[in-house]
Amino acid sequence: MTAEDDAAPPRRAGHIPGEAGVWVLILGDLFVFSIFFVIIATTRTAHPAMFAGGQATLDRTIGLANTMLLLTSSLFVAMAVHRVRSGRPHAPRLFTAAIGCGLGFVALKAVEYGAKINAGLGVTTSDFYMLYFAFTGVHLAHVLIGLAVLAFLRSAARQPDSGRSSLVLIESGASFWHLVDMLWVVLFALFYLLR
Amino acid sequence: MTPLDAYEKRLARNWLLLVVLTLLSVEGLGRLGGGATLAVAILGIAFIKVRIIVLDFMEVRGAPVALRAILEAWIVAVCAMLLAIAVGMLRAA
Repeated sequence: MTAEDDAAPPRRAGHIPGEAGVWVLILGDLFVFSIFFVIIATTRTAHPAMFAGGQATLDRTIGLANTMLLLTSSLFVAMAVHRVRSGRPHAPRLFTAAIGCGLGFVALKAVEYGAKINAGLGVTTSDFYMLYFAFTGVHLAHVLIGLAVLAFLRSAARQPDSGRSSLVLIESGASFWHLVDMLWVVLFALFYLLR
Repeated sequence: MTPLDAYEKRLARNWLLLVVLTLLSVEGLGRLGGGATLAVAILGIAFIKVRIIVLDFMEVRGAPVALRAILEAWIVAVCAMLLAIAVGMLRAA
């Protein structure tokens, strides 16, 4: 279910977006996070009251804002890659906007974690909190790495050739960023929404 | 600002769809109570969103069939597994 499913003809059928190696990384990361997802869901089913108690203390507004920030950053990154590939202008600007969204995510996470810690809630408070801090923490590490990657992609897009000679590299970094976005979509559902 | 071309407009439409689906899943909390129906809605919407990100933002729609097949299979498998666990069909060891 996507807008105009398959309406546009494939520009280059069979094109791997980026280096094949980054897809080994992405698939590996998906596998590991799948295990995380199963652990979260299993804990919820086994200890529903404990899980619900932890969920009730989560700030869903921040969670929603963070989801919107990452979705929007992915839009900017996808547009930036297209700009580099097609020679259209302002790819660096779009990477900057994506980085801005990512920094917003990090800032909100700091606010969120800070509030929890101030309220005396930490990794050892309950199984829910252990999973919450551990898995959103690992995801946050991915966001920080992703921001460094985006900064690198932006500098590539600022080269005299507008990044065209680095297109495979840029596609690779963009794919990693979209991974970060999609992992959060599932974490948001499991921690914040699934009651 | 440079006007969006057709490809970028499509990206923007997909983003809008992602936003709407997100709001729908948050809104659904109030209307569906708890239980299996909510789990299906929340997880179903989450993985529809994941699929949009994979096919259109990550451009896997134009990728080799093998890569697309792996990712589509992963989406279905993980969603199904999480649903089964969430509705209590699979118990922790």
